[in-house]
Amino acid sequence: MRVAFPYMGTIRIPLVPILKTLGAEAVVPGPPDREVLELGVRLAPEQMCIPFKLTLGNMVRSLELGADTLAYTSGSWSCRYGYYGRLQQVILRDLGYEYRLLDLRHDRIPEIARTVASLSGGDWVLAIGRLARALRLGWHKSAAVDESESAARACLPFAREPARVRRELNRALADIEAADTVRELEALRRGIPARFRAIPRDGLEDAVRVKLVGESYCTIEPFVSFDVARKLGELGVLVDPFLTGHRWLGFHGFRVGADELNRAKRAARRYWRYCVGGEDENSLGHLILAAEQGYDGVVHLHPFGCMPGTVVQPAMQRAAEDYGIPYLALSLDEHSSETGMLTRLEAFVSMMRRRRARGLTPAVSR
Amino acid sequence: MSRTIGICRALHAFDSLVLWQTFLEHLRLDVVVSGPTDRDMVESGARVAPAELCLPAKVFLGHALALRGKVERLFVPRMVCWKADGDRFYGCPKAMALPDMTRALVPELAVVELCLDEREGTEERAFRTLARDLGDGRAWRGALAAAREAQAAAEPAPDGEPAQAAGPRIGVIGHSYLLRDDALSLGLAAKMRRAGAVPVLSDRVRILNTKTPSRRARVGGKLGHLPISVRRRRAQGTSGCAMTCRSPVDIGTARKWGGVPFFPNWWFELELIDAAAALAADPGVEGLVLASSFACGTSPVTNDIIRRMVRVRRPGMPVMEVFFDEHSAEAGLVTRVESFCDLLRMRGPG
Repeated sequence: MRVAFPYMGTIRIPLVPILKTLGAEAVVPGPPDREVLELGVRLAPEQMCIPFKLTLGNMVRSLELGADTLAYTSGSWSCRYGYYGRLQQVILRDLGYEYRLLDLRHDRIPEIARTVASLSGGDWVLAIGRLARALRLGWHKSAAVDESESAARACLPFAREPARVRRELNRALADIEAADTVRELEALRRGIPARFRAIPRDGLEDAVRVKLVGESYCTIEPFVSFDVARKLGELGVLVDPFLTGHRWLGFHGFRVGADELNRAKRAARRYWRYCVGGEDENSLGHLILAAEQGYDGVVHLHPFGCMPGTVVQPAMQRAAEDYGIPYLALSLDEHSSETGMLTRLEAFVSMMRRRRARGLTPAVSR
Repeated sequence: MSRTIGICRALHAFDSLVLWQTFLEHLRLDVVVSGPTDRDMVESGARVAPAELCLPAKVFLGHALALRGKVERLFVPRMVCWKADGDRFYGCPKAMALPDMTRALVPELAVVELCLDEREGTEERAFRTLARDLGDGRAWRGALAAAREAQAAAEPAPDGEPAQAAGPRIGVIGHSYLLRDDALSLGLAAKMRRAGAVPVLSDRVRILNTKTPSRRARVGGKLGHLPISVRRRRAQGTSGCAMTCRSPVDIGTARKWGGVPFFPNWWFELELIDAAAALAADPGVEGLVLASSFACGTSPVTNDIIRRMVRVRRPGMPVMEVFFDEHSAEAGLVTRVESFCDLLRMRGPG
């Protein structure tokens, strides 16, 4: 079985070994680029959101590379994300691609279990053993990736040469991809802080802190947002995304981190009573938590036309005013321009710096 | 506290206004319904709303703004979840978050919400909670019965067969809050008539999807938040979906239809797919117009499903998509409607 899956950011690093350990072959096309985007835009309904177009483009690439099964998290709720798998299937069938759609949803667990068992030749004991090993390895890889990326983010605003941070991160990610055992990964993880500490700093010690919130694909996949986290880092901002690939897998795949989600939910409660998707409640909750923790600003990313991302904005704006924290919402689609985005970020950063120089921190932490 | 409460004549009020209004009046409240949409409401709503919101939601906010100073409280429905055919169906995120959004953008009004979520409780419970929030927890039962009766009495008559009207018949698929509000859809139906066509609006379509009542349907005989077409089918005695808040289409049967690639779990989109299927099956209907708002999140999926369904059930039937937003201009719409009608006329019937 040659499996492909939609992915964002570095999430493929833990997912590929999971599939391999289970006995399947993972088909991973490169990260999205202009070509994939144009392909997706041409095939998708015009007003679909950008994650749909990019994952569709990437699916075509995977099928060209010989994938015969596409695995999708899917569901039936009010956000369009729940229909990605099924809508892409009809579009791809029209193009003449034949493949199996593996719907990863709660009511399909028996089918998923049978598929996993069939990869081990129908031997359930072997399959369960492999699954346990696969998930353990995947989880460690994912944690190692997350630790490297967050160390890189913490180091970037102060680095004398930002490019060195990028290089070090790429090396760390390559090492993690190459590691085959949990023991190797643990050793790698221990070494991560030292690797980034070794990068020369420019002596600056004070950086404005920004919380990055928003829809998961836009937050995690750097291609859509022109790597906003890195751009901010290079502008001398400490960026703290509430969602990373690792945390996304944790929240949605393994159901860990419930405490944190509940904290965000409680914080958001005054403004938002119903979670409608697109990480709306988490974004709003983390805006308030960020204000309480003395962050200098919040950047909110969402795909253009994203239903939850749009409706939550007024509530976030209101909360940002009540809590006195600067808030920048960026809407992303295939027409977004890198320069326009950079201009807005620069203006936002200089505004935050000025506020800080004037002693204006969020109202609550004052 | 003053006893005034406002209802916006926008969004789902086009289906359920009488129900809500009668219910609130029976709780001895002074109900003020905002006037029909005018250009000011469109503009004021678009000014406060996020740019990417769909037109009907912006207009809803315009109505809310127009009610400022006239009422103390504002009734806002929250359409979340319905259970049917062993599955769950949801409102669109905008319908689900409407009260929160209104609170954030129109802070002058105290928002009172009717939260319809069958994961948490029945429609009756939702009305009971609403009555309690309004300070009259005991009167809800009588008020709801009266409201349902009034809503049933107020059902519009189905559009009859067009009496020898000349010109091609064109199905217009869209939500009633768009098609029935001329300030939003710029009088689309009238423009089609002027261009010599006979529009058949989806919310009054004589639905063909009839079948014997299911077990579920025999349980109740009440009326409530059903799109008009369903309530009417019930009145015709043909619908299998008689319970309050039951499905706009009989999902069990509809799922077996040919040509529909999959059914989305959006409650208010099912009606559109159902109507489109009925119209595509009617040889007298020569074309379809899919009317939706720009930045409507559900329409790209629904319209794609409808186009595919038409391709299978009625190959070659012309389909035109029209999007509306606050910048839509009449002249452009007239041109498109006229050329679509010309196209149909040139093709001739069948």
